[in-house]
Amino acid sequence: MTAIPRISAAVMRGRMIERARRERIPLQADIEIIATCNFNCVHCYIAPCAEREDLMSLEQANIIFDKLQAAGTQMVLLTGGEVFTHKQFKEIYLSAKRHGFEVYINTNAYLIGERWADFLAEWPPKGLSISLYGMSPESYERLTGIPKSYERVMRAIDLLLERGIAFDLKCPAMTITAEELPAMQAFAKAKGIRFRTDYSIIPQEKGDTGPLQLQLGPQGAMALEKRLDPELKSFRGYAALRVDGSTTDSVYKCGAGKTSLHINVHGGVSTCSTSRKVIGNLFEQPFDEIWETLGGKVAMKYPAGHPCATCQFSRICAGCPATVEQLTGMPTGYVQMYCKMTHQRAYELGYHPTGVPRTVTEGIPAHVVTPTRAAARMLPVLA
Amino acid sequence: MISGSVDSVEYRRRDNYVYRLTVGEHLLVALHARSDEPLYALTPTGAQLWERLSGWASVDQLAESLATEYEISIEEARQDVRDFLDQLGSLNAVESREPAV
Repeated sequence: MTAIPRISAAVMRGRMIERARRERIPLQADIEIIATCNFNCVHCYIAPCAEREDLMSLEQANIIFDKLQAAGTQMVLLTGGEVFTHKQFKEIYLSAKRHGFEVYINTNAYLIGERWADFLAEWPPKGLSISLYGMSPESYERLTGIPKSYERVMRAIDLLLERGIAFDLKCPAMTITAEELPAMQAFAKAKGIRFRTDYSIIPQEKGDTGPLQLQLGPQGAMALEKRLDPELKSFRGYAALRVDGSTTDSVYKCGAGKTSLHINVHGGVSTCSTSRKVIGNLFEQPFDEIWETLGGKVAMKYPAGHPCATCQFSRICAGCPATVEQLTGMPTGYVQMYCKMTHQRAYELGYHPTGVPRTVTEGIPAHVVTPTRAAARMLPVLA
Repeated sequence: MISGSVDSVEYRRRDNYVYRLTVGEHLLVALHARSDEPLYALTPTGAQLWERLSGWASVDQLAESLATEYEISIEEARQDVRDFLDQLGSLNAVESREPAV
């Protein structure tokens, strides 16, 4: 008898993902345990409009953990706000681990000193993701608004490396980070740390569209992508798996609402962290009821005549239903800026002859919802 | 290595792993291991033994429950239990003690 089969965890995880997709099991959950933060980042969508009481207590977290455990969740991301500012973070984190979840953490790392680094070495997370905001004290402070934030984060990175704790670095690509992103990437590479970036900026949770001013336009985004990856190798590989000439009228092509979900500090459930449209509350409703509603949402199709329904690049789109929902109010809306970014990429990869989307020459169908006036005013018009 | 010859020794699982049955997999999740993959799969039989190891139990006691459940000989069950305890031992997931006299 082999009671512990000699299969790799990767094979087992692949088997679980396959079954979760087939049976629509919520394998992964992102949980916001606190909405406030010790940084004042100019692009943030959550903390600037958060109140002190916007946090999840240990008791509330345990309600969520129990429900997710019963539903089959295996991976849990604890995020914020800044999780290390939560007075019960240690208890919440350990409870998540003792529930048998593989636990991931998002943090700005400002508060990770010797004690937290030792704690994480003793109780390592499955994944730790640190937001990086610049490569000098000046640029860091300009973005975070907090003195010494650069020095503190750099020290945290060294403390984690010294203890062999695995983590990755990430930074949003936007007007105020674009110049230093290549240096951040080089820094991560020199330290042997994975680095990633994301090009979508969304409005604040309560509607302020100010952060959209920081969004890179299609040309600016492509110029940056080329600086980070001159031959566009990683995007080329990503696109090769997803562009085959076919189209789909399914709005949600990711795992949101199918194998994953997002839970905010008040128990509100949405498809993912980018979508702030809550469709149910785990403190008040049974999990199955919410999961069924979420399933209905992510099964939606584009209306006839929608440009995305017949786009062969929809699976590599720079936008997604959640970012589109944030800008237009509906997952089935249409944001031409994302379309231009995507076609620009398709052009660079040789998939599209001009890089100009059809809606530029033919117009956007009148029945398709476009960004709200407030969002449109802030989005980049040109490069 | 867990000794296969001293069947009166009692075993109990340590609290450095959590067992879960999820998405059809019997998982043993490490709380402390700083490994890229702190996750192990158990067979249903292994999961049953793991549950039994919440309290102290000897190889014979574990083997008896296995032999009854799966209708196998007690010798075969003893060997299966010893193999399983060896595997758990290599993960530092089980502790042992001499039985009280």
